[in-house]
Amino acid sequence: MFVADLRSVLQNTTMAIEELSFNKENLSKNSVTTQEVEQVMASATAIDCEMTPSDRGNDRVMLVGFTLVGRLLEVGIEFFANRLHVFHASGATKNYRKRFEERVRT
Amino acid sequence: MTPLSPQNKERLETARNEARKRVIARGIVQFRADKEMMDQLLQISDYQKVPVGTLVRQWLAPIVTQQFINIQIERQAILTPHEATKAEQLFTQALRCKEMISKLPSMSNERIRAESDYSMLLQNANALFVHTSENSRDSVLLKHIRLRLDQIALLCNEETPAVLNKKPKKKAV
Repeated sequence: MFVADLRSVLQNTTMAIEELSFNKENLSKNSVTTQEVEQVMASATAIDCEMTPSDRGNDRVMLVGFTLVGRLLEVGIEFFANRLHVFHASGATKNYRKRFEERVRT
Repeated sequence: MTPLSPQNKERLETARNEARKRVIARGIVQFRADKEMMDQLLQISDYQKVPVGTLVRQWLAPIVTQQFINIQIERQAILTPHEATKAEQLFTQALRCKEMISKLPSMSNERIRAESDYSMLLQNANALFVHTSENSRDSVLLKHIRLRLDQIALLCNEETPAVLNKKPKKKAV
């Protein structure tokens, strides 16, 4: 096997896997699919905005980025001990749209 | 508002990397087109009797490969073994394409397209290998690249029609 292939295999095997769960009610209410959420997460240009911790005291973050079609979404993620939970996803509101434009420009 | 802890930042990064892998594995690209372009696309698709998706993929493949190489050269980042694997992938794709060509009927549209894809893939792999070999100091990598370049040269010689290899006959005086 080629040395670089071997290196990449080793890197991949040592990487931890993060489980992802979705609030499907919220997603369907806002006409967002789980695939679109993944596309925003995968986007290199997506930005993360700080949020207040949840009622359970878990950290939360709001990702803002484009889907493959070009829809700007906001995706809220809560950090549980064993998984990451997407509690909210919808078209980006004015506030987050503005923040995204500012961050991308800089 | 509280900033994310370094641990959670790392977890988010991991989740994003995994999401990226799933998006790549799904292999579906969507884009919006205006009415005029859609109409023209459908007409071309009907005329050539090829589905729109296949058509766009065929058009896009060489452009994407070329753009990708251009970006890599711009970034000056194709010096690592990781980048060399990209050349390796192109080479493997070219070999698969070659296998497919032999199964296609001669002079068919599919064969002509496959042949052009094959030569494009081989050229790009060659360009990447040469560029990497010029800039890399890793002896293992250089040895591997030399082997691949020899293989590409052999494949290119195979493709040269026998007529071109023949020496011209001397005219009788």
